[in-house]
Amino acid sequence: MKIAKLKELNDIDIVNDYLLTKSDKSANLFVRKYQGFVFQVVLRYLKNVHDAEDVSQDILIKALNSLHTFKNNASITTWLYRISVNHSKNFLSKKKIRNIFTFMGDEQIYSDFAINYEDGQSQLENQEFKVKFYNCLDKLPEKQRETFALRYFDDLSYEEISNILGTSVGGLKANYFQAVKKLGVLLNEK
Amino acid sequence: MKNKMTYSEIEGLIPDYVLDRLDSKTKLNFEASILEYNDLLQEVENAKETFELFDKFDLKATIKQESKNLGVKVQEKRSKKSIKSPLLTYLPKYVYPSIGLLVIIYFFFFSEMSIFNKKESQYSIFRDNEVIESFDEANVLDYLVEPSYYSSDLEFINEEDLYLIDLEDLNEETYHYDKFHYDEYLNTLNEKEFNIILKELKDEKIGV
Repeated sequence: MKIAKLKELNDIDIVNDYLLTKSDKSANLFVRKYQGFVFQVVLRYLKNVHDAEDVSQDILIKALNSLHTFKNNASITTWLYRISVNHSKNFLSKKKIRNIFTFMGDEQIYSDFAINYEDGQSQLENQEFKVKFYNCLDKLPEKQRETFALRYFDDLSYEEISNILGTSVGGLKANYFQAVKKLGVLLNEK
Repeated sequence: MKNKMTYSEIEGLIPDYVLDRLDSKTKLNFEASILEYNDLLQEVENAKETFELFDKFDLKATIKQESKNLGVKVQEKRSKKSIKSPLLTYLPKYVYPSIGLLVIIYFFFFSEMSIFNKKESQYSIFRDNEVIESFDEANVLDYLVEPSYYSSDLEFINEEDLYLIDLEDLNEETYHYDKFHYDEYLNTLNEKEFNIILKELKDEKIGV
């Protein structure tokens, strides 16, 4: 199924379909619809692609297993966002403890982005820009960063973002503007 | 104009205006209101440049690429998990910790290495002593560690005189109490000396 068609599918339909059939097909539909969203949230917290992949997989499996507890009065993105953030924070604290015992220092953020040099020049530039962009995004305050990402990449409404972040719609608009402004400045810096 | 926007309201709508995500009514209102603020017009230009930069590098698509294989990996993990037998799930979760706990309990309370057993053997060496029987166990220990603490008369008694072997070497099998030696010492005390000892014991509230 094409991504555009996936987007058209209602959250509730996807959830109900999985709860009724428990089939691999409906699970796959759920995962494909929300994998990008979950991965992006996790990546912004973990700042490491490999960790983000592993944690995202666990989150999606956990979400599928506890989908019966999802209440229809909330948006599924809000629900998934909370699971993702909690899971990421738990992972980070466990990793911190593990690093103490293994004498590992702090990793460089976004250092493991795969840049495929065999691709064309434009692809390479895109990848390099992506790394630069993530590093700039990381310099923003958490609320501004999350507002920007949820609005720009995930196309969420201000009401949905407000439910997720607990900030007023007016505050979110100001955060979004500030985030775009700062990103513009940071990306143009050499 | 009916609903003229404030400076901060216009500011908050700039990114959505640039991305054409405002409804027609709000857009008209925005365009009319922003004319009064030259600096905000400049902000619109800056935001346009930033979003053009994102478009130039196809940021949305590039970022979405990162998670494109996630679905397959989740599917693989799910199928692996469903194959796992319940026994394999319960073993690491409950059985191993329970065995570990039982081993710890055994070593703490029942084995010969147990600290509680050691205490028991230390106390047991005094059980046959009729003089010390009236003391509680803790005070007897203090008395043995530092006899001079209780009476200057008792300073004459060396620990080695009271016991045939060093206290450190004592255990239940090798211990022999020199009752004769101790009784003889008590017989040599006159009434005055004995009263001094009793008074000191009373002052220290030993055996009370």
